[in-house]
This record gives sequence, structure tokens and C-alpha cells, in this order.
Amino acid sequence: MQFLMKLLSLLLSSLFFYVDVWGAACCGGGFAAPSIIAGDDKAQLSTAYSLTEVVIENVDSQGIWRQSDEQQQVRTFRVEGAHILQDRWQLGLAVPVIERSSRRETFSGLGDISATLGYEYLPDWTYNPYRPKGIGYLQLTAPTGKSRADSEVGGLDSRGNGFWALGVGTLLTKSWSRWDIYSTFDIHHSFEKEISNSVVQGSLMPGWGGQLGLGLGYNIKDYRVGSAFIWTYEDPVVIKSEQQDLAGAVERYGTAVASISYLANDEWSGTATYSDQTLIGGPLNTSLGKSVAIQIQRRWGR
Amino acid sequence: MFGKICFLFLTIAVLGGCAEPKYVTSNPVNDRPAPLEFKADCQIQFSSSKLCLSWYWEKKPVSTEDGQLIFKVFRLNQLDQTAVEQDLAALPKVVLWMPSMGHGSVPTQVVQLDTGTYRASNVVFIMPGEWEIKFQVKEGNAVLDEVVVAFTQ
Repeated sequence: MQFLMKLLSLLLSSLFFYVDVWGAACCGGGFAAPSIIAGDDKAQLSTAYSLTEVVIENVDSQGIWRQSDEQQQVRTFRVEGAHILQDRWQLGLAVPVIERSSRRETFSGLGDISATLGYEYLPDWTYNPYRPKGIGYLQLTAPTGKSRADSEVGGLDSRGNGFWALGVGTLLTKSWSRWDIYSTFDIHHSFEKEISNSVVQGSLMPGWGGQLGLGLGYNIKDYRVGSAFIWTYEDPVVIKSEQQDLAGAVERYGTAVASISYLANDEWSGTATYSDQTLIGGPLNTSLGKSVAIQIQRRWGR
Repeated sequence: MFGKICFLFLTIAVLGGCAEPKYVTSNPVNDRPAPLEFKADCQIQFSSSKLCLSWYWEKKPVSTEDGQLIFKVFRLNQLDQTAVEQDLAALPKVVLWMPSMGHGSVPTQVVQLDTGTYRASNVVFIMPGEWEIKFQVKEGNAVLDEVVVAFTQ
């Protein structure tokens, strides 16, 4: 039993670190990630720092990849916490701070803040050998990071999706012996907003988006090595103005992740991650990056 | 059991597909030198007025240096329909827009050089790809007249 709990802790301490590197490399960083306690803890607090090199600046609607000498770097510092409300209910909050550098300038500021309400709909009290543990969540994202359409400098100062958004998702986890697997799935809807700057005047009308993630890990003593694949999709952002409507285009990309985690004790753990968006997923209308990141997490048991 | 899981995982990854990159590092059309002779024609028309526009690179933007372009606005001579330089109602704006990604670029600066003749400087495409160069006549934030030219950087 203790061994199982240890595996679970290692899995979960590394699992949600992946979300830091899910975002599109350019101009924002995709949808905000949920903050969830997936283990048997009462509370958790994590800090993470990631460095992303934008290696492909543009993939167009025909899937043509373009790169130039001017590569952007994105640094993200993220603090997230979650606490149990009742036995199976929990509340989480994630706050990212993002800095983006290009040859011209460096911009920094708050990214999109997200709050998560989670419910463990499939508990694993009996450690069933086949049935996974399942947590569903509702996520509200606040547009504290500027969207790329809001930007007057081509998205260089963009730090998020920049829309109010509401999403639902689920996380399924399962451990067998030294192995563990997990899957995540979420869909979200971003809401319309008005915009008026020197470039665009009118309504920004985003739509639906979603993510699917699959992960696998192997545990050796206090370490876990893992990999994951995450596919991301976003509807076009239509711009409606008095003069004309701009249709926008679907954005999609895949992220491949490799990680190693270390469980120092029942309270502390650390994870190092490498992610690459140039390997999978047939990307369209996006930028692609490669990231390295570290995370430290503190947990409080029940 | 775990062999099956690994097999399933790899199958999904393979079905998900590799990224299949199709790289483009330069555009031979745009790498042509800027035309030395300016051609006064009326092939690009503003959306509202009957004015038309021609443009060329004075200095093509590269990753280390901003670009400059010259554009001229014409009306058609009433007698023989030849192009005659014509001032716009207000100092025009040049806006760079990337439609597929839904964002613009850093603001350009426009100055008038002569009758119907303008220079846009600080022309920067912040990333390679398919762009639109919008030549706009604005009143406040409202666009009164516009020409959009497609451009691949």
C-alpha cells in the first residue's frame, strides 16, 4: 500500500508539471492549465520555472514551417496551489508570470490566471487493479494575459489566450507495479470581447478548444521517468468589425514531453522536464518551441 | 499487461502522426531585388475611392534590420486615363497583419515625400509567413479606405 502511494505521489508530482509546457510557443501560450490535487493529499503548492525557445516561428495553414534568425525566448514562472474543500471536492488556483524576449524588446507580466473546481468522481479506495482513479474539473480562466489580437506589437507582449473561458475536463490515472499511465481530456469555450486599438477595432470571437493528453511512467525507487503526448486544438478567432470580418484560422499542435521526478519524502518532490513541439501532431497556424523546465512541489497529507 | 499498454501508447502516438515538417527558409519571389524603375500603374485599387496604388521596397526588411517601402497613390486622368499622383484625404497608415495567426506587427511610421508619394518605415514582419500589408486611410479608428496586398516573408 505504501509503495502504491509512493508511486502515485511521484506520478502526480510530475503530471501537472507537464501543463506548463503545453501552450503554443508563440504569442500567448495556449489555454491555462488546471491545478488539481490528484493524490490523497489535503493541499499542495508548486512553483515552476520554464524556458522555451521558439524554434519554428510560423507554421501556416498549409503546414509550411518557417524559421528565421530571430528566435524568441519565453520564460514562465508559475505558482499554483490547491486545497481540499470536502472529502472529494477541491479548489485550485494557478498564477503564471511570463517574460517574452525577441531581438527587439522584452515584455513581461501576468499570464492568464485560472481557478479550478475539482471532484473525484471515480475514487480508488479499493485499489482495483483495472478501474482508474478519475477526477473531473470545471475551470474558469481570467484574461489577465493579453491576447495576441490585443497586441499592438504583433503578439510579442501577449501572455495568454486573453479571453474569459470556461472549461470542463477529466483526469484518469492508474498505477500497476512500477508502471503508471494517465490521460487527460478537456474542452473549453472562450468568450467574445470587444477590442479597439490602432490595429483592430471590433469584436474578437473565439470558439471552442480542447486538449488530449496521454502519459506513461516507470518508477525506480524514489525516481520516476515519464513521457507524454499532448494534442491541442483551438477554433479560429474571428474578428468582426464595421469594415470587414477577418476569419482567422484553426490552431493545432502536439507536444511531446519527457520528464524525471524525484520524491524527496512524502512532502517534497522535484521534476525536470523537456518538451518538444516539433515532433508530433501535424501543427497548423502556430509557432513551435522546445522547453526545459523545473518544478518543486510541497504537499500536505490529510 | 504492461507490454500491451506500451503497445497501445505507441500505437496512439503513431496514429497521432509525426509533425511532418515542410520547411521553407526563403522565398525566391521575394528575394528578387527591388525594382529600380517605378511603374506607375493602377492595378491595385482602394476599396472605396477610385484611387489606386503602386509600391516597392526601398529597403527590404531582414531579421536584423527594419524595412522601408515607398508607395504612391494615383487617380486616373480624365482625358486619357493615365495615372496622376494624388494626395490621400489624410496621412495614410500602413498596417501589417498576419491573418492565419490573427495578429499584427510593430507599428510602422508613414511620412509624405511629395504629392501622392509616401514612405513607410519601421516595417518589420515579426515572423516569417504569409502577411497582408494594409494601406489605410483612417478617421480615428474607423477605416475609410483601404488597399490590402498579400506578401510572403
